Amino acid sequence: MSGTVLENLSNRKLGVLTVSLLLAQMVFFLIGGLIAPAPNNVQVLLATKCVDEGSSALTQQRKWFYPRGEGNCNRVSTLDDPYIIDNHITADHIVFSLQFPNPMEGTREPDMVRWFQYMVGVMMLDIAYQKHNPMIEKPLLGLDLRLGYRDIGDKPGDWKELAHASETRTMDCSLDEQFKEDGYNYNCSMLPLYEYGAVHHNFYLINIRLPITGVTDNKNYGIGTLKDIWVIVIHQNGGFTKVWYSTKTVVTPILIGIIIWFWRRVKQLPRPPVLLEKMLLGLGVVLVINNIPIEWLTLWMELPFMLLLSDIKQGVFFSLLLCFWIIFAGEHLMDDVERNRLVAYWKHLAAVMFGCLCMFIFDMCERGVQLRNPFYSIWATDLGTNLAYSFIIIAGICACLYFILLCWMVFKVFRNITFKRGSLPSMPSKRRAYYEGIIYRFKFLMLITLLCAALTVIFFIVSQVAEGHWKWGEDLSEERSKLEYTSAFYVGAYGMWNVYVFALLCLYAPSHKYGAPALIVDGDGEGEEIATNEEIEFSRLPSEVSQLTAFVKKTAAD
Amino acid sequence: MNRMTEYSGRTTFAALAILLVVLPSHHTTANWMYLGVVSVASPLPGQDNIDEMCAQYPGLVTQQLQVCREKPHTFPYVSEGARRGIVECQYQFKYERWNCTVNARNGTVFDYVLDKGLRETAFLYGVTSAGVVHAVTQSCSAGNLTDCSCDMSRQGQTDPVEGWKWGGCSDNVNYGLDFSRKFVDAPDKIKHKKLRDVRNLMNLQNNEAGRRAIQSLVETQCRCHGVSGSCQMKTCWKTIPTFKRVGEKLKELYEHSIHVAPRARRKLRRKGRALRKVAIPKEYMVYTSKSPNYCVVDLDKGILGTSGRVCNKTSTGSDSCDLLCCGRGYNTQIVRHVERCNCKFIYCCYVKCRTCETMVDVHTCK
Repeated sequence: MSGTVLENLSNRKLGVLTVSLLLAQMVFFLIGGLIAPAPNNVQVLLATKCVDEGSSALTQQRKWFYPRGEGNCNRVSTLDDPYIIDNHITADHIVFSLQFPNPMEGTREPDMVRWFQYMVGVMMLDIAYQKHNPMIEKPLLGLDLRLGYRDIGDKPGDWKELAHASETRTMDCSLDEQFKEDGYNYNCSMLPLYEYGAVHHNFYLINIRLPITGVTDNKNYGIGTLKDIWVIVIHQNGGFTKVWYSTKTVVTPILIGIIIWFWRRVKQLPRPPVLLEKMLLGLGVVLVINNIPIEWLTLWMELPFMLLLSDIKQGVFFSLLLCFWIIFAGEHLMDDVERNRLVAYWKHLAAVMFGCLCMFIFDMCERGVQLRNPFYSIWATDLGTNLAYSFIIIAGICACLYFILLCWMVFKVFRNITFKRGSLPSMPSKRRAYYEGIIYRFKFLMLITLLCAALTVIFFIVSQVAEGHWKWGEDLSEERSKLEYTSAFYVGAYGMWNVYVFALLCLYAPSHKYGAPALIVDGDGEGEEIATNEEIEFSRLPSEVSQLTAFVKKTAAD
Repeated sequence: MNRMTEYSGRTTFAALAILLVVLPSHHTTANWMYLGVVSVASPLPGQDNIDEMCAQYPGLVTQQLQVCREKPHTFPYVSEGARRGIVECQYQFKYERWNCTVNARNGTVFDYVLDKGLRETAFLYGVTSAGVVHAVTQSCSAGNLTDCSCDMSRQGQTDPVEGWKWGGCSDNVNYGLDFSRKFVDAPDKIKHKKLRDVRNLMNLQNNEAGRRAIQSLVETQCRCHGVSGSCQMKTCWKTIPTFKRVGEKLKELYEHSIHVAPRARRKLRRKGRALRKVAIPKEYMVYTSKSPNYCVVDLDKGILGTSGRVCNKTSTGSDSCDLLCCGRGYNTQIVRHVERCNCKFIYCCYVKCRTCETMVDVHTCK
């Protein structure tokens, strides 16, 4: 991979390209920060306690209990309502019911739209401390869960079932000794309720029961005095989805164009494409697959697998990026080993692949199973939690291994560079240009990669801080700033990796400028005019390199 | 002596009954807190005499009546808020000489205490104002209110529902706070414009202190839901505290409340020359007059005295027999105390228990 565009580009042209790419990056950031709203919206819902008046509660499973609309349920405001005692209602007959979205100020009832893309439900229990009804250590909850939907135009009670499952969750609650007084609530960790990868309908309904007959393992016993159930539903914001998909739609053809240009240049060369060129093509193709906005289909079809699919797509892109870095460093090692084949990098690639495989299995265990049962959570059982942790830990070890190998490789490259530097002035101009080219290419990639990685980390931290430290200010109206940091991070980071791949494809494409003299900039930024009259033949290079290294070693020994 | 008995769940949590005592009362002004001791029902569908319904509650000013007429379904939650405040007041002051006794007549609830600018007055204003925030926020989350507003300032959309679909909503706590500001503060704002009385300033400050107490206890909770459930995506929301925590915080503020000069007209000032220039933070409670000791019965002022109150012989706090009985001494009785024990509990409805009986000494003030 010699004579790339990068080396043969004049300083001015390189400057123009860099500035325009930086501008593109700014545009991405501003689209996220100024146009898009926050990525997600939260609905904090308090369950209505409906009373199932049926004679045998558990045979009444088919009936829906909903708090609003015609035919709504018979409700009690608290679980110590006298109505419950007077009518001999048991825990089996209590249905915690959540109908969302909640009504709001406006002329018409709000409804969920397909732009919301996915729903994540979290459950929080309000459990009051009572001296004679203490909570046992880590009690088990046995939940009978149903998720239903209704569309605009359906009759008020016409709820249809989306999912139904019996689930177990372990509660983790604590209460400081000083608050152990009647009326105080335990601090309980939130429990995962459901995850569903589509919002295809207008209204949703969740029915939760905590039955006490027909459950095993003493579930729902010793959980203390349940006061309320809160469900937090998180979904993507419509505006964010629109901005996001529009960005993807605009970026895709540009990227396809640059890939075609790149590959045509490679094909025009008299030699077959080298490994690095193939890797660049692969990286571009995977990014295009990531970009193609197939999510538009969700506006017509219910596709709950989209969450899983986007996980997999992102995973494939980043694993390929990791492989690319390794191979790039390897191909710039300037030692006498002939690589140019994937097999030569098996150790590094195996670490990446094995780590990715672990994450893939973990994702299939969580989101894959959720396709069948949205209420499923791998974290709900001890076995599942251990399994999940072991996959994540193995993936983490692989990642560490990879970075150690990468750092070692980069270190070797830098060692060779300093080695070569010393002998550069004594080389013939052609060979000197060849090595200067390699050093320059490598340093340039190192620089922009480190820049991108650092920016991603900074964006990420800023968005996390902006989200987590969302505290009450002195003045409530000034609490929210004009710039939406979280969205700016998502769109900015997304744009950045696109710009990165775009820049690689542009700058590392083979150059056609062989006849004309070109300005070559070396690592220190000095310009030197060199006539590159003929192309260095790639296939012959390793032997040249080995001769050179031998020469260098000899001089060093002297 | 243990007997296996089955109890019904209600008894597990004896609701604090509001003590209704009828006392001779001198002239007092009606107050919206009265809503907390009367039952307020939501209008039935198709009910058109909303004006009539709103007119039956005494002591509401024009703005409050307007809320009643425009948002009749919110009104029961205002009443619920006031009730929550009063119940919490009774809980927090269970062991004090003044125990938040309700004297509901002529559209008022605590005639003497509400009339004077005492520390207790400050607490009552704070706790009921916070109660309204709590009740309204909660009923918004439950979907019981049809008009919980959505902060659209960022979205630039005029239609709230469209704005919500584009960029979501601010949370319900904000709506509760706004509602409380509008409704609870209305009477004192009007009166202060007319009379420039320090009492109205004091009430407004204490209402705000109640709201800020709830605000300071609001917790942010977050959930990660990014790629493979990682924290690449994180969403946070706010949870309101239990009202008990709010009551406790307000009790603390009550104990550290600031004495203000009784003659200020435009701005509250601390009493005493030395501290006059020190600003009063918005989260603090203020009072204008010193409280009486509440020891002796003074039916004219609605003070019941502490005679007959149960005190704690071993305590050194406000419920100790020395302090509560104002040095008059106490009587001791041996009472059979029936308690439930060794219970097997279900989270709702029924409880299987044994009863344990113990003999305890009960001390009452002379």
